[in-house]
Amino acid sequence: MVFEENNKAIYLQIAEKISDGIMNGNYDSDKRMPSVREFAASIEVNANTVMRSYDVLASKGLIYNKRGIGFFVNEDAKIRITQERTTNLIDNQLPPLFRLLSILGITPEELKKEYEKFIENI
Amino acid sequence: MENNIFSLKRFAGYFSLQLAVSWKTLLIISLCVFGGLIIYCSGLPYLADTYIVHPKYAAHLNKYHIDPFWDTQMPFFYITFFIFSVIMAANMFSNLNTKNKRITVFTLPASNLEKFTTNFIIYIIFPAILFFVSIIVGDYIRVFTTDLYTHSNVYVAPMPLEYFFSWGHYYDNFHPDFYDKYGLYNYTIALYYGFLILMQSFIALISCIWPKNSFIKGAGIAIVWTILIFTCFYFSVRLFGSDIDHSYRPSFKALSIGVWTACIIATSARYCLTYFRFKENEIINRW
Amino acid sequence: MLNIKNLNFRYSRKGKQTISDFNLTLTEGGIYGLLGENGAGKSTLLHIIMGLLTPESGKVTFNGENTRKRLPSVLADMYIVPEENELPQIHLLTFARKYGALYPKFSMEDMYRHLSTFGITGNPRLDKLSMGQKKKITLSFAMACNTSLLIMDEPTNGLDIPSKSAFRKFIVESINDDRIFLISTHQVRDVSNILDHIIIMDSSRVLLNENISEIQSKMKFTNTSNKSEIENAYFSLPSLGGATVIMPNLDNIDTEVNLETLFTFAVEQPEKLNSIFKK
Repeated sequence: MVFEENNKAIYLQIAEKISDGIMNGNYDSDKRMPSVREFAASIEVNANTVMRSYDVLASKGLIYNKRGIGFFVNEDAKIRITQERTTNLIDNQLPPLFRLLSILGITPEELKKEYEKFIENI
Repeated sequence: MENNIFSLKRFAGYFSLQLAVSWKTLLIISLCVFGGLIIYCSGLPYLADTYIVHPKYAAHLNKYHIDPFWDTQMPFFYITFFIFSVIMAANMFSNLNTKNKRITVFTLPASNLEKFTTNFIIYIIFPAILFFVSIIVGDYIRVFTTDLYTHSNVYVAPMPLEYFFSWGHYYDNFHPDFYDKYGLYNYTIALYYGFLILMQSFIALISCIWPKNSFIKGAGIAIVWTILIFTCFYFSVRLFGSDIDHSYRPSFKALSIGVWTACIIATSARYCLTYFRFKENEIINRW
Repeated sequence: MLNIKNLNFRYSRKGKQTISDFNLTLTEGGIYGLLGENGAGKSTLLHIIMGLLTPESGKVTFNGENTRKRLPSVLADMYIVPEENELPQIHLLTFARKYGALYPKFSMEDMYRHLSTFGITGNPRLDKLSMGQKKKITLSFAMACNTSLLIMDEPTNGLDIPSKSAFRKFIVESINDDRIFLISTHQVRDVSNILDHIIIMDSSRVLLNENISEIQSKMKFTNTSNKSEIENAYFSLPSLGGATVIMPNLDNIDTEVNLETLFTFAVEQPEKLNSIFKK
């Protein structure tokens, strides 16, 4: 796993990467996730750090721990992640973008056209 | 694992480890000593024409069952045994001569006594046994090879084992029991072996304190001491040889027992000192 | 538990005090990183812990026993991988068997597993190997002894990049609640994500001894060009476009600990660092 040099704590970056994995469908909700130790060894990070990541994900309701067996992804994890990321986008990423757009004088209609073009090309 | 001072199982494990690490060196040393002594014992009589003796002397020797080579063999044995023992003792702690080796030895889980005993067996006991066995075998081979090249009229036989603890008949060719009646031989032999074990234990102690270069230091000291000892022997025999009739002197037998006792006690004390020094050893030398 | 209490040490009577009044406790389950400048006494400390040097005063106890006594039961539960490795002139498997026989918890299975993590196969003669390979073999053997205390002095020296990666995996998967790993190193980048405690020492004392999460909760590590942030930071080092700073973590958002900056801070302003954690 490559960690970005953006100062964000590793355990938070790992939690994000696991969330990406959940969105990509890497984890079946009926199969156990890799154990903390297995996962830590595979990404060469201290197991306590990975434990904190799992705790963050559990506190957000994305995964849960079945005692004696391991961690599992929640059925509604994808929905929750989408919700959280949408909120984050609207609250944190859109305002600077909108500020820039308004300074450049780009109208909402022009923005909509560009977005529609983008969707057609996917 | 218990912390008893000596555990046979643990000792066996440690000893077998040290053997596995140094068996090649020990094998080379064994072959050199063995080979050297066999060649000496079989080859020299031939080269030195030891068995070509005047018939009158031959008759005398035959009467007393004395093989003339015994007297040549024994001094050679005494000198080389002394040097060899001291050199081996100088290497008693050669497994401590680099920092990494010291780290290994001091951190291996065995008691200090087990580690010390291993070195003692390999560098003190084993060389002595090797030497004695080699000369006995060499001696038998000499008897065997003599049959092949000489039709001597002289008595040829393997040396009796008492010779290791006698001075032979070196100083008297016609009265073999003369000196021995007074136990002079016992005394001089006691001096020889006494000095040997004292020197050996002293060098072992030096090797424990300064493991590096102890071979050179040991060899240097060995040469100096060899010269000193033979000078002592020479004068000792010269002095006492002429005073045998003074009856108030303690018997040589008593003196020799005294020498043996003193040397054994002193040697044991030195090895105890060496053991305690070994326990105190660190990976650096403070002096 | 490894306990170092009031340790004082110097190499010679008139020499400088290499270690003075040093105190440290390490508990099971931790992967401790020991950082310090050259000559700060790291190797000396490790050798004293292993009973290889005699302290002037104070003592080191492991499992309740003074390590200087070199008791076999204590030695059987400790292992040091020194910086330079000299291996005897024997074959690998002979080495593992003979040396492993002295360590009660040694496992040949574990040895094979670690060797394969490092990509070492066969039964080569140990003295005919490169420095890196000798290091990997020593590390594999050390780990396979399953001692409760494993000390490594500059373990990544001489390892190529894939081997450093193998080393990290090897450490992370082998730690458990009964073991203590103590890694002494300069190469902070090689070990940055696998440590959970950081110990920084200078020539005589502990400058810092904290858990990573504790450090993260008290300090933020970031790059900024904001002048007022730089001025109010605990510590700053000039960098491209501003400075690398250590600031108080006032908004409880954790950043990743920048060990290099932290180390420089510890060495240049030890009292300030100390006061941050004393609060």
